[in-house]
Amino acid sequence: MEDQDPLLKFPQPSPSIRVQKDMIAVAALERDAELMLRVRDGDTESFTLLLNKHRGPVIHFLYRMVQNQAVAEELAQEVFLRVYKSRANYEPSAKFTTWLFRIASHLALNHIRDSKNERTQDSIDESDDDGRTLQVADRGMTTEQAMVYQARLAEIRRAIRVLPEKQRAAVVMHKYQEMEYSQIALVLECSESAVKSLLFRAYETLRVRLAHMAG
Amino acid sequence: MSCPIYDESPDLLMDFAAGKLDWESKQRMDVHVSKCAICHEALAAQAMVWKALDEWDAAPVSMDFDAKLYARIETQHATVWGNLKSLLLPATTWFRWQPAIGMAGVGALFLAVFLLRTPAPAVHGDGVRMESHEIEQAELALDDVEMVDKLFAESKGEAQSL
Ligand SMILES: [Zn+2]
Repeated sequence: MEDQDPLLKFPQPSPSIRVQKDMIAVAALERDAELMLRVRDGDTESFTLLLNKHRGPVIHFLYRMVQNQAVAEELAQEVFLRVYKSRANYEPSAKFTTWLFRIASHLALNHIRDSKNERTQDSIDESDDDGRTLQVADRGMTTEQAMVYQARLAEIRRAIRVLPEKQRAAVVMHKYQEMEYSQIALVLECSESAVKSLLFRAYETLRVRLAHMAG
Repeated sequence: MSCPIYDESPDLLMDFAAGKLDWESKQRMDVHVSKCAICHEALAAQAMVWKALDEWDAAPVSMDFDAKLYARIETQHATVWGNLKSLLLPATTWFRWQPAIGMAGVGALFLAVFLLRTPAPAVHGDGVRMESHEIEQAELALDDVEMVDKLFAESKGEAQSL
């Protein structure tokens, strides 16, 4: 099935293309693509370096998309497994993070769509979320402060969750991953103006939903 | 009442609230927002949203995330290795139970790979003709096995040094 995944397809390289040649092409691109080319050539240390650099951002992105830490980590496993599995065909045609987040957002959006009929929004609210519990513990709050904070956080999470999936992905990438419109467009495979429109509509909804939290 | 910036370039407001505008654009927006009620209100609301979203931290990653990933990669390689054996040595599953013959099997495997690297399609003892894509697949699988061995040796080394 994974062989059919369009996310993993690259232009087929000529057998004569070697890493050195690709290195020249990618020189101006970025360090990550260079590391991925080394992974393609069998350098395991480069895979570890990529994992160390991107593990956190990918999991945090997925967590805010699916709002469940265990599911986010499971999906992130799949992301890195796909990166590893497709290394032999890797071509630095796009920024590495664009490709990485395209895989991640594809998996997240699929998960959200698949689980829509399985769980109600309320059951998500009531689910055990270790992320939320940890935040309270880390902030050293009193019980009362923690309760207020939990309530605010629940509203923020709900406001994000009820956004249409693509708007949600765009907001998470824009706000938390600090991606440019152009990169979000590449990840979501749409135009830059479509991204701006998605974000504008999403923030407009959030402004209304979170308006009472001002002050 | 309408505003061309709010209607046609809302990204300017988003970037302004996110602090992403360059100095010159920021100065222009400052002047505009001070005179435009629509943008003033929208900017205040956007800044509030931005601040609220800041409250939502992500949780730390599980300590065993990497170990789980490497285990999955290892499982995948075990499958690749199994497929490789069945591809090259379809009638020799019994050799695993015979250590001495198993060593001979490994030698045969390397000989097979050596033969596979020749330009023309190779013909094996069992008469199975290897197509070029199968040759590539076999070579890739060998690379995979070598790589995963290194990966795990390194991760074990790191774990021991902690
Ligand atoms: Zn205005």
